[in-house]
Amino acid sequence: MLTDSRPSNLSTQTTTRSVLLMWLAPLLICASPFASAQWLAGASAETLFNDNVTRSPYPDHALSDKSLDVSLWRGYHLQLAEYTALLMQGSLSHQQFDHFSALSNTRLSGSAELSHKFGLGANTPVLAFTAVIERSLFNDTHRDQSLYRTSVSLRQRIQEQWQLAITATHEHTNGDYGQNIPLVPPAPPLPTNVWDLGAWQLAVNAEWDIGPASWLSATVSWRNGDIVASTPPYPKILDASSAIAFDPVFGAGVVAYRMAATTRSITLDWNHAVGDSSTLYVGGERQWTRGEYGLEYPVHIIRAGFLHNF
Amino acid sequence: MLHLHKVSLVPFMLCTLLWQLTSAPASAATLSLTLTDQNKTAVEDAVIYVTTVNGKHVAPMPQTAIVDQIGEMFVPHVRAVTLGSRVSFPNSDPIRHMVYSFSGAKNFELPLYSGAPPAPVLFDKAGLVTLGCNIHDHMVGYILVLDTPYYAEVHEGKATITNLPAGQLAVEIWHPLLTQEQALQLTITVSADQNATLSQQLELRPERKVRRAPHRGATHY
Ligand SMILES: [Cu+2]
Repeated sequence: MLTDSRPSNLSTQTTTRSVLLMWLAPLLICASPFASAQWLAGASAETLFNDNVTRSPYPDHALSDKSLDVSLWRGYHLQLAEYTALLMQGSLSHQQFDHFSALSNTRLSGSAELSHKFGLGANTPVLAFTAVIERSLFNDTHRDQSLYRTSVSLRQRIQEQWQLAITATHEHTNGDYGQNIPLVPPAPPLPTNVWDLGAWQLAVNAEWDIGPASWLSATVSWRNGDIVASTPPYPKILDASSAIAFDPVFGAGVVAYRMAATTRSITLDWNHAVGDSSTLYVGGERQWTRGEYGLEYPVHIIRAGFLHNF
Repeated sequence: MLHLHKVSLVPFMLCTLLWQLTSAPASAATLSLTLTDQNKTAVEDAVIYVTTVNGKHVAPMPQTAIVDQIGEMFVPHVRAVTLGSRVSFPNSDPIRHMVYSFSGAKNFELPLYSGAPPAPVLFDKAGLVTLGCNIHDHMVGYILVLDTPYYAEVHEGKATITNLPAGQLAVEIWHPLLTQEQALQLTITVSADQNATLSQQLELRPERKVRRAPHRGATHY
């Protein structure tokens, strides 16, 4: 009999939380009356098509769906010193899936970015440390989770027409999983905390102006860490998984499982400025995930969205 | 008391009148410009100036000028000043700005400030000075430092240079979005008391829109 076990990475979560507090506490103290502060706010809407929401390695079980994601955010920018700034943001988002409404979710997120510019000028590099905490509540409550992400990013405008950014990210997702349904023997005795994920990612982003109001944004990323997929429990999958539980969202007998994998992705977006404070974009993403036993998890995403800063 | 005051002003007023009569050309001409772009739209933020009169350079008097910062923009976007002028950079925004320039005509940096500016900046070399703000990279402005007393800023496609001496004038028209490297160069002859008019069209590049970074949610793995 498989049992529901507590995550083995509690110490990692504690460390992540401590790191966030260690960053935020001195920064909030630094936010003295001498600092220059500015409130920011924005809203966005994105429609998205994902050809493999199940993240299945088997084309027969790959299920697609459309979703609409709307988001409202509020930010507070503090210029702490001549070259150092802190941006704190909070956002509330909702993603509504068209067919698999169980995947629809509401997210509350808070982030802090501490950035430092290495001198004067628009082409001077900027180093930024970012911490994000996000709470996601799904219609399928098995998926409810908290995400902790820390990243370090170096960005630079190379010429007037293009800029480059390199970002290294560590993220940890802590699933609630309390109600997850374990598999029974002869399945191997695996934990059910499939939405407890940890991963490292390295991303390189380039933005290139193609007109006075249009620019292309391309991102290449390498991710090494856990993924979740939902398929029938084939023997290969039982062997490769580090956690497994029934996932009734995609039908009876389907399981959600966690597996260590490497993911390469390419994202390309065309952006167009509308007025001085809005952006329209259309783009796509291709993810190649490779797990154990040569399992391949292809995902294609097409999206279009509108962002507005109030 | 009032009477004494009036009497004491008379010599001053006479002196002022005498100075104006001697400093302005005896029969000053006026040059009025109408400026459009290739789409027949009235041009904003251009500068028209006279570089030589009958082939001779005329030295300008220094002035004081202001370039304000309003809504994360330099206002005006283009400011023309004479050589030796001092420009102050007040900040009318509720946030701090950090004005700088790397231009050959003036390399300077003002520390992060709000409200009243530090001391005005002396512009003692003729040429174009491109302004930036190190906090807001989208903020760009221009100061054109001119070695001539005869110039005007163009607003809504119109500008007028007054008190011009008669003769052959070498005129230039400059705009930050000119497609050509150099300012537009013209030669105009004006006679005494003439109200000369000039209509010109500039080829301008489209203005780059302010870009805001997209704010996108996380990808769930
Ligand atoms: Cu600024």
